[in-house]
Amino acid sequence: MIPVELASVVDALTPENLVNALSLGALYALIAVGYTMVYGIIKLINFAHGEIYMLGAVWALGILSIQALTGLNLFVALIPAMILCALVGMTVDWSAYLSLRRKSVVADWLSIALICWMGISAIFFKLTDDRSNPLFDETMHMFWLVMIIATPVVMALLALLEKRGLFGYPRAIKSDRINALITAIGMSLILQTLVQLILGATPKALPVESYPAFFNEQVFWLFGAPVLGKELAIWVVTLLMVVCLQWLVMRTKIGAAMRACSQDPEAAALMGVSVDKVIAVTFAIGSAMAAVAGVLYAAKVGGNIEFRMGYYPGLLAFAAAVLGGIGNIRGALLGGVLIGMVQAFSGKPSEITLPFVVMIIVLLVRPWGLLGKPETTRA
Amino acid sequence: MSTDALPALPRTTFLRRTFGGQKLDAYNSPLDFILGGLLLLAVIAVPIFNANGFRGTVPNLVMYVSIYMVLAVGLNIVVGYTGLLDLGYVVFLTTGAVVMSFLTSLVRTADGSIDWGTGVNRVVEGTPLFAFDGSVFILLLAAGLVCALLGVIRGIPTLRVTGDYYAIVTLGFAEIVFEVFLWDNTRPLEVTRITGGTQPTPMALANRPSLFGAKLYYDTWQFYYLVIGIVILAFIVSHHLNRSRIGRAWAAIRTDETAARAVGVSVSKYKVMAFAISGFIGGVGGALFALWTPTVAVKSFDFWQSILILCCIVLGGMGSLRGVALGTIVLMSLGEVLRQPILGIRVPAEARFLVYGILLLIFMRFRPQGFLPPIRRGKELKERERQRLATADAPLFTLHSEAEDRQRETRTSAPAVTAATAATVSPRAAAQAPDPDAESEPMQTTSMPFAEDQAPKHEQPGTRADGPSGPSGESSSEEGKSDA
Repeated sequence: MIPVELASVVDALTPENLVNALSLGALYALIAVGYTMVYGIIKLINFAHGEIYMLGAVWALGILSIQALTGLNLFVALIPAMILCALVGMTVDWSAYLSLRRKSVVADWLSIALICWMGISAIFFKLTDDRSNPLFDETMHMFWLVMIIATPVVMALLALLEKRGLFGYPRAIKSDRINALITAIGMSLILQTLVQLILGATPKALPVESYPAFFNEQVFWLFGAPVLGKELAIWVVTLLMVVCLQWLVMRTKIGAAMRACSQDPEAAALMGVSVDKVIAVTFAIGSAMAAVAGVLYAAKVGGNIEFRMGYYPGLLAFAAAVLGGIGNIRGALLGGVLIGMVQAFSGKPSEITLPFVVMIIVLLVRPWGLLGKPETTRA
Repeated sequence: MSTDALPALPRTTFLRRTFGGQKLDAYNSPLDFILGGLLLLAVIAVPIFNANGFRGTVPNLVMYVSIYMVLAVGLNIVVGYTGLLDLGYVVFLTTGAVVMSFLTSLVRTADGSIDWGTGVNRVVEGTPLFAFDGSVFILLLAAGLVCALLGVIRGIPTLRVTGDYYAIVTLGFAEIVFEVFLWDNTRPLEVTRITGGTQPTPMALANRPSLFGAKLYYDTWQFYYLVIGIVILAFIVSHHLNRSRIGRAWAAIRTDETAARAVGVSVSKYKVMAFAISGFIGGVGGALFALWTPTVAVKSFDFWQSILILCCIVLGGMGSLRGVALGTIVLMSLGEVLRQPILGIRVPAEARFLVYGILLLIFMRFRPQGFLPPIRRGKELKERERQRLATADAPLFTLHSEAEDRQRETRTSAPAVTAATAATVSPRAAAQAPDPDAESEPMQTTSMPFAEDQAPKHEQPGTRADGPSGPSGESSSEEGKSDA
């Protein structure tokens, strides 16, 4: 068994796979950064992060499908997709995770009510969509569509207003980490189902007109393998994002606040850092980067935009974050590239067995990850 | 202080524990037994009042809920008792089902060798190996043991890391097993020959294990009552484990792993035990599922199945068996109800998971302990228990009210503090000296169990004052001695 497996790995060590590995690795690194940043500050595995990645592609699809914008370049659509995803990330934080840190009666109920309303809108949107449905109704269909668009906007507005103290300043509470994790799973479930209800179950692709001209042309050769324009675009955009992130975290005030919060949130709060704001910004940055990954992936494979597209990349990116040492941004980048390589060189692109085996081995040997520091327990 | 004078706590008997309420042992309330008994009677009576006997929607739903209840009880051991989040419990469902369907497909061929008769386009003639009467128990045991082993293998990498990593490793492991079970002939190991892969073959009737002279099939009374019996058995085993020494070790690990290790609980041992027992119960549940369902479709056992079982125990109350029962009944029935048209509208199938997600969010926000949380957890000691603890020899710790606390502080620490300040700030010592004297007197006459603890505290200022040189040290050491 092992020689066969080894032989297939050796066979897979081709320059073509190297190019693929670098692209996959870049995408995983972009997603993993969001995981690791959120984990670093609130110690929460944000399960909904894979869904944000999926939403990035969905937003880009939505923007590029607007009639008036036909022929818009993919990279122009990337920016609104990033902004929208950043808003979604902040809204997810507000509607799901904030009430685990703070007890505010109004916001707690309001966010749940809005999520329920969103779900009801999506269900009725689905029920009124088609002539074969007994409830088919053109005007109601439009009404529910408006509701689907309006509800998250209202939620985002409330989230922003809440930061300004609209509902008073709620008292802080502590909740179990297991509760936070289950909440995150619930949020992931909700986002997935919403997209499934709205978008349908069939995979969609970005419109071909939006692809830039160089996208499918080969740009240069790497070890004898052709590098297409889209692969190069992925590398360049990822590098750009990483440099921006590095600048943001190391050189700006908000970055310093983020680092402070990840070291000790309570001490940071005492020093005048608004921890909630920092968390919201962290969610926004992580989500924007995941959105970039989503759009680039959809452009790379030329399709596959569906509700479950975020599941495996989300898991693998989390494995990458753990591999590199969770809470460590450079570790996440390294882990992402490694996981991408393991996946690409294991021969099957849809394979997730080997990356997880690697992750479990790393946990056995070096539980704190490649670049992380050993965690010391304080009483 | 002697313990002879203390009123003896009443001896617990089954009846007293059940209907009298000896609260130190209260893991269950009498209502549980009454409601549980009624529920059991109803479940046993279902086929009698059902028009089609053991066929039909209601008995089928009872089977479905019961099998998931076995799984939920198994998951509860790790999540509820030990406090580790398991996101890949579905592996036991899958593996148990696969072991069951694999073992039942084993046949002895004409030339005496053992072969398996099902698989991808394979039919082998022969006599079934595990079709004799009562073989189902061997099969269930085998499935359970395989899954227990799997649980241990899965848990070992997480022993060195804490908390969330267990969730991730279980999740990753579940994905690995899920993929490996779908390996076809293009892979190094053709696992689909055993699991059936994407085209599973139904378990042949001739190969099915039998019990009391009938092949176990979803519509036989033997299977119906076997499943119910196993549910009851799982509940009893889980309940007694929780009450035993093992259960207390799990509780210690759940509350604080470091503290548990510090007081001598072998954390690794008890964790591995939890993994194995949880896996065993899960494997039995999976094996029952394989007998119940027409075909074992590995593909359908995905991540969301784990989440579904997790939802059941989160909804009911982690760590409480009555909660597990209630949560499973409510959630699994809800899933079936949402399949039916409501007011003539057929809700889209995916809406079910939307409802589950919103339920998870609501419960974690407003009632994280679930519908029926464990009785014992978080309950304060009764007055009598507190007295007993307070008057016993050398108590390790006591639970007391805040008012008591404050009283004690003013009585004990005030003289110590003033004496300590006197030790360092000499000019004021003379002015403050009378106060400790006045307050310390009644303290020595009280019969509080803490009186002994205070003796060394009084000496402290004196001994400390010996250290620093100069007149201040001398003057304060006198004050300290006058106290004692």
